[in-house]
Amino acid sequence: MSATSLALTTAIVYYIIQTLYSFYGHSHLNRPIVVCPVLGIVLGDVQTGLALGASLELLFMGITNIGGSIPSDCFLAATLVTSLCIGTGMDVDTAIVLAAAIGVVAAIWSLTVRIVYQGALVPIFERYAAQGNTAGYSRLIIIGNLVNGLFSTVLVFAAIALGADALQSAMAAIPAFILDGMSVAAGMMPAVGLALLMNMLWSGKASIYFFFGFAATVYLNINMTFMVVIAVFITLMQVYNELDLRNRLKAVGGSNGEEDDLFG
Amino acid sequence: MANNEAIIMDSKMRTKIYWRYVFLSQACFSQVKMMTAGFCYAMLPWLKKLYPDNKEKLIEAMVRHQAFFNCTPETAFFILGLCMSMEGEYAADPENFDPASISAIKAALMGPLSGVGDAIFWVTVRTIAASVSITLAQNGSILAPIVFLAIYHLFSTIVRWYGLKFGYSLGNQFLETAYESGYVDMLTMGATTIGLIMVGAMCANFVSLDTAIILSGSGETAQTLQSALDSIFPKLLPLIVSLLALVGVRKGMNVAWIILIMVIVGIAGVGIGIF
Repeated sequence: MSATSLALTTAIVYYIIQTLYSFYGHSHLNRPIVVCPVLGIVLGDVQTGLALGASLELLFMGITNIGGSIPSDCFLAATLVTSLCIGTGMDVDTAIVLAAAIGVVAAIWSLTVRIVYQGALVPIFERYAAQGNTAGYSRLIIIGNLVNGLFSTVLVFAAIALGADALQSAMAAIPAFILDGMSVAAGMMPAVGLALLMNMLWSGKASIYFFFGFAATVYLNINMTFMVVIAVFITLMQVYNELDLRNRLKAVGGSNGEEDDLFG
Repeated sequence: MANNEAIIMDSKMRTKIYWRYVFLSQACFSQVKMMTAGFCYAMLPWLKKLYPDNKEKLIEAMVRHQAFFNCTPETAFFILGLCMSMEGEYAADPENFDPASISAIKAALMGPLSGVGDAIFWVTVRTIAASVSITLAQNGSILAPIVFLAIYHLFSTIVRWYGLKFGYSLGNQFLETAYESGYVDMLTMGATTIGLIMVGAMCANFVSLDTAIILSGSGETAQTLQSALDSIFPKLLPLIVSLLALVGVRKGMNVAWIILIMVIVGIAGVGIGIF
């Protein structure tokens, strides 16, 4: 198989799996254990696909994208490595080492797509919401999802067409400060979404609860599940105090209890 | 109970919303709002049913669900069901029910349900599914990917389907009790308190920024500003970033500009050695 047709086949398989994945959220279709054998079937070497699937799934087992972070893009890495192994006869052990390196760089690429492309869609979603345009909203989410897969597909095509050596030197050529800078920016970004949420809840006195939640997490290392237990207790205390106050006002005010709200 | 009779979600509507959310829960996942787009998309048929000819209220609800949302997709179905019952209650009784409590409940639950959901699905279920299928793959069986997906989706589907169902009925029961006792306004107060505490916790967990500035020395023995900060207020920089973002949002700054500033600050900061 020529380099171009290998690249094209791989890119098509990648795009199909990527799109199926984003149209069935969190389906794990993009894990190496699924991707490698499927690509193996298409490229005509199921056994290598299965062997790589097992090794790469083990390699990426500990890596989880919890909380929306992408520590390593195992989907892109698994696709590239499987294609290079079957298509160009790369050694399986070399492939696994290469996969770990590709995973990290590929994660920066996925992150960039999330920041730039998906970020550009956010104001459009907001505009449709502000117009009450449900049809436009539904259309945008589907088109947006179909286009999303294309960015990485182009990368897959280019990487396979250029070959393993070019891939390694291209990875080395990206200035480190840009990659690191994108990671730093990505670390700050959830603050924007959380600020939008905070904006809806924020009011003068209530803001102390935000600082309480922050400080308790930082200093006491409380995890989120335990945090909600504490939050419920604080809230119950608040509600009981309020109930107590209302009952007392009712007892004092007697018949004109209706006006008690003025003093509460 | 509410002034008007609340619209009840029938099983047809529930099935429709279930599939909409199964398909597009992760769609258009941006770094800023994460799973927001899919959450609002899943809810659209319900909102349209609640406000068939009240465009103003429909807009209000759609804008409300543009808020940041991120949760393990499996456990997020519970929040979706809960929010649907609250939206129904608000539509039936807009005078007494404060819609701010809907946003507050979302804010309060997404963190802890992510914690539980990630532990169950990313760690436990996926590890079980992977360990079984890796053995199959090593023996050269093509069943490996099928078994992997089957084990995962068995658990996933149960939690998604019943999460939506229980979230909705639990929300309705709870709201009914709140109305009967006449303290529905306390719901908003309580939900806002929990919501703000959890947003504070999420800022500390999700927002990250470390400085690389060296105060004195070099190499292994260098005294960095970060280690000095860590001993006084470990997450000071994420807190500053969060509050600056809040200031920007409250001043009506375009979200795209805030993101662009963050990218520039990030790359420039690493370039000159601050981060």
